[in-house]
Order: sequence, then C-alpha cells, then structure tokens
Amino acid sequence: MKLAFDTGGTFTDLALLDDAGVVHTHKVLSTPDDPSRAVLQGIDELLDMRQSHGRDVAAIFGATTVVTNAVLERRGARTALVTTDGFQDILRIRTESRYDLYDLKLQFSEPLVARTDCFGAIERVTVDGDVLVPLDEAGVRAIAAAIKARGIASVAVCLLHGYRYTEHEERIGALLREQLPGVAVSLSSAVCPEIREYDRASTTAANAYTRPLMSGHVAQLEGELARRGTGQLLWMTSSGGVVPGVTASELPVRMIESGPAAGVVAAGDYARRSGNGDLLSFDMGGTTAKLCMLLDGRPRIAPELEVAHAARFRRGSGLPLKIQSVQMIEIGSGGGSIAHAGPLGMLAVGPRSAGAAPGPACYGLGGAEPTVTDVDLILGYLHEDSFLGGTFRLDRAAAQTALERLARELQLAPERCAQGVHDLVNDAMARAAIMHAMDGGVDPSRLSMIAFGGAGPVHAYGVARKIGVRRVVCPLGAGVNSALGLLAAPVAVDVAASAPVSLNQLDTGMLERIRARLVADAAPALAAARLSVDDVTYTFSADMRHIGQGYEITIGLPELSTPLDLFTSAVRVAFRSTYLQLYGREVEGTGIEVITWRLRASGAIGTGGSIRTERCDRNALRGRRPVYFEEARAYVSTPVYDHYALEPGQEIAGPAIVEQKESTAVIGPSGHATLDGQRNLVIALT
Amino acid sequence: MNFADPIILQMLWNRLVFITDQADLALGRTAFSPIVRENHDFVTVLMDADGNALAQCTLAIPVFISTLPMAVKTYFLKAHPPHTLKPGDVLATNNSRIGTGHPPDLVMVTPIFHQGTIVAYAGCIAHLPDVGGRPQSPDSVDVFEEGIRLPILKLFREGVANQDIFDIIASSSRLPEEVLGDINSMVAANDVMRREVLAFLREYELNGLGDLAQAIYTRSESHMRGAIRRLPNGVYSAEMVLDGIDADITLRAAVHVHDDSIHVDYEGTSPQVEYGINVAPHYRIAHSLYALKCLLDPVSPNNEGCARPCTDSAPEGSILNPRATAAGAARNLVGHTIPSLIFRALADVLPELVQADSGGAPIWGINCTGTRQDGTPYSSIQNFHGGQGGRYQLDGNDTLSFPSNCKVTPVEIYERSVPVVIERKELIADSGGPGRFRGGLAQRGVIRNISGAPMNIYLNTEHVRHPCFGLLGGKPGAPGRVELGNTPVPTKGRVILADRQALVIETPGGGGWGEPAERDRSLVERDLHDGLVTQAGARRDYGYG
Repeated sequence: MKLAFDTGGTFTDLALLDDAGVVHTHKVLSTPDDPSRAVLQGIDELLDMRQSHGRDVAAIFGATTVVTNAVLERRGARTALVTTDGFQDILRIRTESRYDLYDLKLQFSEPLVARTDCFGAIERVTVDGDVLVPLDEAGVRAIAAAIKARGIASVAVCLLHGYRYTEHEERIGALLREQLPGVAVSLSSAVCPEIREYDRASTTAANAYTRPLMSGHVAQLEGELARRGTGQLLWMTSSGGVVPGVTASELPVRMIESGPAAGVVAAGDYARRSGNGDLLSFDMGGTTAKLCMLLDGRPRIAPELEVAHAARFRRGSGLPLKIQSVQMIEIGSGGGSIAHAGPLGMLAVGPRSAGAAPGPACYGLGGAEPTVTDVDLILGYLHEDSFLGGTFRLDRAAAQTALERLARELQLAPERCAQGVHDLVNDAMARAAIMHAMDGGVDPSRLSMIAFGGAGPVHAYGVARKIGVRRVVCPLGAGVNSALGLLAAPVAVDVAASAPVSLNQLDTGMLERIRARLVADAAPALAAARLSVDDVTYTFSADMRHIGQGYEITIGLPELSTPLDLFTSAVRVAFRSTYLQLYGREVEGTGIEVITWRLRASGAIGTGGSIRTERCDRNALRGRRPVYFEEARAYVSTPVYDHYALEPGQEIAGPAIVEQKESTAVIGPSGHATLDGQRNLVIALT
Repeated sequence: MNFADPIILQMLWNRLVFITDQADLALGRTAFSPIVRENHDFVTVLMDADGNALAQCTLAIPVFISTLPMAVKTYFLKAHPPHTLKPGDVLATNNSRIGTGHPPDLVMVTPIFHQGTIVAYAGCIAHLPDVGGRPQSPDSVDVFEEGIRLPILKLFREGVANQDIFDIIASSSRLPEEVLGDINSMVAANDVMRREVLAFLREYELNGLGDLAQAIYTRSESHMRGAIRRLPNGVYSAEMVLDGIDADITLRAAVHVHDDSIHVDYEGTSPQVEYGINVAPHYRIAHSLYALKCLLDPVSPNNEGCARPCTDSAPEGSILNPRATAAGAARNLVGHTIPSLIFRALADVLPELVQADSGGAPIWGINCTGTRQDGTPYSSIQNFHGGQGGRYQLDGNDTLSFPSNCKVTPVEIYERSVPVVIERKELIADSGGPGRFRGGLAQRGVIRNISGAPMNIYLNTEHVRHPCFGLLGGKPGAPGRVELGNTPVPTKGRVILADRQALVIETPGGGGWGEPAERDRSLVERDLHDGLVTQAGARRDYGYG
C-alpha cells in the first residue's frame, strides 16, 4: 500500500491507497511548531484504522508548507550571501521596476539576507569563461571567519556567470565547508544554474534560508518512519513530480509550491482516468482561488514563480524564484474575502480577507464584516447545520447583521447585496480564468472544470456559467484533493543548465557535453529515489528565443543524441510552430538561440485508486432548503443530497445541493448532474 | 438598466476594463520586442462615440493617460469625421504631435459600428521597434530628423489594407518585418475590443454605451472633485532646475486649486531647445494628470471622468509646449520630472501624500556601441535608476524606475550583447537625501571596455549638476556623476571609452522628506548598522554620534 500526506496551514490531510486500489482518507490538525508531529499522528491513526502496520507501506509521499511558511513568516535560518565583489547589493537593487504605477507608497518584500551578511569575493569571470580576476582565496577564508563569528547557519553563493563557469563557486564551496563544518552551503550553480543574476541569487538565497529547517524536517520524519519500517519517503516539488529526501533537503526551494502542485496532479489524474484531458482546475479556499489549465491531462510548467508578495497578489512585489513550477493563477477571492463599499461607492469584494481569525462573521469569532462565506450561507448554498460535516455550527444571525450594515451603506436591500457579492466574486474568478486560458492560446469555454477546496464546488457552477464552460466535476474527496494527487505523482527530477548558443553554431560535441552534464546532474536524485535506469524517461527541453529578444519560450526537444542536422531542423520547426501558436505570427530573417537547456528525468505515473467510504444505507436526500439562483432571480426550494450516499450512475436534476464533509456542491436550475464510476459529481450545464 | 445601482455599475465597468485588458493581452502576446512588452510600453483604450476614454487597460505606463482620447477628439475626428467612416476602417498616425511626442509610438483607432452607427472607438498605441531617423536620440534638431511621419491615414478601408502605406513604412524602417508585425498586432487588438464590445451590448441588451459611459464619468468625476474639494483654495507654486544639454532648464508650475477643480500653469518655464528633449503637449498633459491621480485618486480605473476636473497649460514656445516641428525623441529626459515638480508645489497642502524628487526620473540610459574585433557591430542600452524620493512614514525605495517603469537588463545578459564587463553595481552609502524619511539610495555602476578597440558610449543622464530636491525640510539626494579615469565627463551625448578603460556611473539619490533632525534615532542606527549611511554621514546629516 501507499500513503500520502499534505501538511497545510490548518489541517494535515492523509490518504492511504490499499492493495485493492481503494483509498482511505484522514484529516488531523496541523502542528506548525513541528509539522512532523501531525504527520506521524495521522499516519499512525490511519494505519490503526486499517489495522495495518508501517511495514505494509511501500512508499510515502509528502507535500509540505514548511518551505513556504519559512519564507512567508521569516522563520528560516540566518543566511549569508557571497557574490562577486561589487554585487553585494544584488538582492536590494532587484529589477529597479515598480509593481504598481499609482501607489507612491509602494514597498517590496525584504530580502531574506541582511545587507551586512552579504559578502563580496574578489574574482571575475567573463561571459566567455575567461578568468579576468582569479579567486582571492585568502579573502574567502576571511569571509568564512566572519560567518563563523556571527553564528550564521547557512550560506548562499552566487557569482557572475556561475550558471556556466562553476569553478569559482565550487572552490568557494569547498573552502567554506572546510572552515564551517555544520553550515549548509548552497551554490547557485547547483541550485539554479540559469542565466540572470538577480533571479539566480534570489533563488539561491531562498534555498539557503529554508535549508536547515527543511533538512531537519526530512531527517526527523525519515528517522521516525524507518522505526515504523515503512518504505521510502518521497516529496512533491512545485512542478508536480516527487523527489527523494536528499533532494528535498538540499534543494528545498523546489518544494515551495508543493501542496498546490499536488492538487493539480490530482486534477491531471482525474483527466487521465476520465478521458477528459482539457481541464480547468479551480481550487477556492479561505483566502484565495487558484486556477490552472491542463491540456491533455498536463499542466503547463513555468520556469519561474514569485512568492512572498509585499502587496497582495501583485506580481513584482515579491521574491522571484527560478524553479520549475506548475503554472497557475492565484487571485484574492476566497471564502474569507471581505465585501465592502469601494472608494467610488460601489460594491467591491476582496482582496482583503478575514482569514481564519477572526474569519467570516458567521464563524462567530468576532468578525464583523461580511465575507463571501457569510453570503453563501445567506443565499442558502451553505447551511449552518452541515458546515464541515456539522462539526462547526455557523452563526446565521451574525452573518445577517454584517451584511445588513454593508447594505445600508450602499443603500441596497440586503438580499440584493448578497446576490451582488456572490455574483461579483464569481465574475472576478471567471475573468481570471479567461485570461489564464487566453494567455496559453486556448478558448476557455472548451475546457471542463474540476472544482475543489472548501469553496470551489460552491462557486464552480456560477463561475462556469460566466466562462461558458459546459461541464463541472466535483470529485468525491475534494477536501483531501492534494493528498490524492500525491498518490498519482511520478518521480520527476528537473535539472537545467544555461549554455547560450545560436542554433547555427551547435555542434555534436557540445550537444553531447550538455546531455552528459544534465543526465549526470539528475542521476544522484534518481538513484536516491531507487529508480532503475530502465524505468527512467528523459524529456529534454530548452528555453529559446529569436536572437535579440529579451525573453525565452520553452520548447520540447528531440533526444539530444539525434544526429545534428536532424536535431537542429526539428528544433527550428518546433520553435517556429510554438512561437506561431503563442504569438500568432512568425518572425523571418532572425536567428534562433538556446539560452537554457532542461531535462526532466521521470519515472512512471502512479494510479490514484478510488475513494471508498463506509457503506451507507442512509437516505441520500437529506431534505430541502430555500436557495437563491440568479437564473430564477428568486429563492427556490431545493433538495439537499448527501454525496457519500449517492451511487454511481445516479442522476440529479438541478437545482440541487450536494453536501460533502468539507465542501458543498451547488447545481443550478440549468444544470444536470450524474455520478460517475468513482462517484464524482459531474454537472452538465445547458 | 439602472446604471446608478452600485452592483450593476461595478459589474459592467469591470467588464469594460476587462475588454481593454483582453486587447492588451492580444497585443502584448504578439508584440515583437519583448522589452516593450515587459515594460508595458503600449496601451489599449476603449472610447465612447465622442472619443472620451471609457476604459483603459490596467497596466499602461503614465505617458498614455488621456493621450488617445485627446488624439481622437482633437485630430482624428476632424481629419475623418464620423460620417466618412465605414465598418472595417482602421485609422493610424505616428505624428508625434498627435500621439505621445515621439515618432515610434503609432496611434491606431478603429470605429465600432452597431446597428449602423458608431457606438465606440477602439484605440491602441504601441512603441514600434524602428520608424527610421535617429532612434530615441536627443541629437535631432527638428522632428524631421526623427523618422517617418505618417499623417492620419486609413490603414484599412472597409477591411481592405492600403498596401501602399505598409510598403512606405517597411521601406522607412531598419526593422521592417518587426514593425509590420507589430502593426498587425495592433489591428488585432482593436478588433478584440470591437468583437467584445458587440458581445457585451448583445448580452446586456444595450443599444449603445452612452448612458453607461455617463454613469462611469459622473462617478469618477465626482470622486475626483471630492478629493480636490478637500484641498484649500489657492495657488501653489514650485520650480525645479534641470541640467539640460548645454544650458540649465527651469520648469515652473503654479497649481491653482479652485473649489473642485485644478489647473496647472507652467508659466515661467524655459523656452524650447534645438535638441530632441522638447515635451509635446500630450506628453506633458499625461504626466500632469498622472501626478494628480497618484495624489488624489490612485485606485479607480482611468477614464474621462478622472481627467475632467484637471487641466494644464504651458506658454507657447516653451519646452513644455514647443512648436509643432520641435524635436522630442528623448522627451522623457524632461517630461519624466513633471510629477516631482507637481509634488513639490503641493507639498504644503498634501504633506502626507507627496513624494520627494526621484533619481529614477528620468531613466539614465547608457548606450554602448562599436564594432567587435571580428567586424560585427554591437549596440545595446543599459538603464540605471537612482533612488526614489522619501515619503511620509517611508524612506524612498533604492534604485527605482519612476514615473516610467523600466526593468533593467541583467548584467549576465548585457555582457552577452556588448563587449564590456560591468565591474560593480552597488548602492552608494549616504546618497539618499537626508530627511525624517530619507531618499532611496542611488547606485554606482562601473563599465569596462574589453572589446580591444575604442567604444562609443551615448549617455542620457540628469541631476548631475542639480540633485533631486527634498520636500518639507528634507535635503537633496547626492547628485549623479559620470567619470572616466577619475575625470568627470560630459553627462549627455558621446563619450569615447578606450580599450580596458572604465566608465564610472553614479545615479542621483532620492530627495528626503521632512527635517532630518526629526528622523527617528533608531532608524539612523538601523541605517548605520546596514551601512546605508556612514558614521560621517550620520554625524553630518543627522547630528548623530
């Protein structure tokens, strides 16, 4: 059997896939001071429930917020940065651009390394690899002494042109390790060998900053699991593959979007099994909504992302990271988003959120402003008695009071105001989805939607109507979706190397060297994941551009061992056709160059299995309640079903409400739902 | 439909802005020059049937505020009155007087017909890669040296391309393929707006946009007027002096606040010059409006209503209102400083909102050109920015582009395109103007020629002789500096860098906000600890230690 856990901010979700292909789920409260406690508690409880033992578990897959939270909450290790002398301010100078054009009070995320902990090593290598200034080793020893004296626990090294000419970084690494036993050293040439010094330095600094915490977490869990006799522990990266503990420990920055990536892998698993490959995954939680387009069951992978935004969701206000990550769009629309009167006296929703504390007014924890969840309660989508499976009773009167105050301010009837909030938040998510799909050159109305997260299934129907999507899937087990995704994730090791070259100047020897380097770089992690060479699939790609352009697009490559003339002509065709698809035209008469070479070495994709819940003889129809529907412009008496008691093949005509423990699916009057073979709710919109 | 309803109006308004953002995406995805795309040097605007701005894409840089509606109302509709337009027509010009003050910006307008009448105009402006002439150089004497000049033409007549025009453009440009490609992207962007507006009208069963437009303008205008009304009536004046090219340039502004309207009068500003740094009226107006919007209404989407309460004027023949044929390719060198001037004028009435003068205004551009030893030519611009001005409760950000928004090319990429080594790129301690909230720090860049031959470097700099001023008792930032082997060199125009010689560039620091003596001691100590001010600086500027 296989086990998966997803450490979230509030809950740690677990899923166990038994040898019969049945999935059993479990949920425990997270323990942020030491996340491994909740993981172990959950695993022990889940094994007990199944009357199983650690030795029955062949493999364990983990997704974690340890890395993200260390960066967001600034709980990482004190870190030093060593750069080429003259560039110590690299993290402060940033890109020199602004993320907001009208806000004179704009502020940026503080760098993860204090200015005084940035050191310059005297050395300089040119763009062609000539050593202009040899490395001053005595100077490096002095830097090591200063690091030691300050008790700094982790060091990042990022030298100019170190993406390609790695000798000086490696020598600095050796000198530091020699003088600073126990201090972790992250070299940019190992973490992120990609051109563009600020992005690389930022990535290497984030890696160093989170490394002591993550490697401690990995070591502790591996030790505890070994005592229980389980199989190997593998970790989800931001790009949707799993890697062994050694990679998670040494390259923790790659785990920064671990949980969300696992959720997208679950959507991909659904896509493969249902034969419905083109999907929009829609994950709406308490503070944000995340949208991700999958084509042919696969998400797009972006070569970079940004975290720790100083201004909510504003690209450019945070820390750039050059890592492979599932490309998604995140907007400030969640259940906790606060509805308010905007500066021009119009209704506005978010991006301010009530979060978990005080939370929506209906949580009764002191929140006084109306949120999306409050409105969902008032409109009948949620019910005070069945929220979180009835374990948390909502306060309808408090929601009503908060809403009435806003309605008075806007001179609206409270009901009208509630409908407006629901409609506006759906509209914002629909617009984001349309942009996300358009950006990939896809008409969003041809996608199916898969909804999860606490609020996803509540809003999916309304959002789908606005986009023109005709099919919405609300999976069984939506509340533990990321954990389910982990069970299906393949081992995948991403490596890269910037070696800029014009396509015309490529030669066989160079291709061989690049291939050998990438394969060698991937090998240790593959070995640690106990993957035999025969089971590995190598996928090569490259970031390419027309000579003279400033930014690249990623193109899939043929095997690098293809004969040179065939190789270059195939690459040229692939580049031109991708360029045409993305940008709608070709550029004639300009050369093409490769900037960065990439390899993904992956194992087989797992199978997710089907969720099983205890046999349930209870009546699926729980009752009826009045629910507001825009199409009817009125409250309609609506049947409420228990998702766990529905059988495959069962049909439900809209309007209807289908409740799970962690979420509620809404089917409007022009929707018609069917339970598929895995008892996922599939809603067709007419 | 009741457009006064705060939900209906919000929903429909969001949709109109979204339509311009969709067109923006269509244009940005296809624009050839990624640097133009990354720095968002283009705009898409939806205008009503009278040419007023209804909605503008969210991310455009300040130069584009109100430019399109001014171009349409003042020029396009006079050259081509509505009754002469047919469905499928596309109008365009790159006349810098009609557009944004320099010829690379092409202005394109497409009428949107619904049930046989024009209900709206789709418009866009994009910075084309090359339109002939001297590219972006201050060296031109008049506009005719700055490239081809197309009058307002019908690029398409009833959907049919006017091929002669495309041929003329192609033969006048150094990059014909790219320019024609970008023009096609612009046509497509306007068509996205046309298609989406028609779908919008059908969806909401509207015959036109007139009533909705009025509701949007009224709400924005009354919000802006409300913000102005909170200012005491009066005339608030300021001046600033710039290095210029061979003589100082003085800019003067008198901001007249009268009840719920504002007029900025640039009387007393220096006359126009025989260099390409004259600021055409549309460029000036855009930056006047930008400054006022930052102070009074930074959040609501740009539209006609925000602009209505605000006007400006400048004396004819001045550098802010030059004659029609004056050169202006590098108008940003002067125009970018307008917001700082307006902030200075309003510092006493809006002390908590203004920002002291910024070293990112204007951008410093360093263009290295020459020939490699193998005979291939090279030319590439590297930008450097100074520090942002101090702000109430906040020090200025270090090294920040303002009011434009330009990302800097990474050193590792720049060294690939030009045979130089950038030896240093670091903050300069004590360069932030002292103040209760100090200016952001400037940077020092050291560029060494390793080409094996002399290299031409073209410099566009400012604030070398006249540093960025502080506000409300704040002190000026450190002035900029350019040195060649320890000798100061002329800061605009050409410098010859011998092989292995290094050019040292120091951008200007931002001005400070408020009296330095009032600076929180703990902040002085923090800056000392971080090395952002030196011991000597702390003693001199803050009386500390």
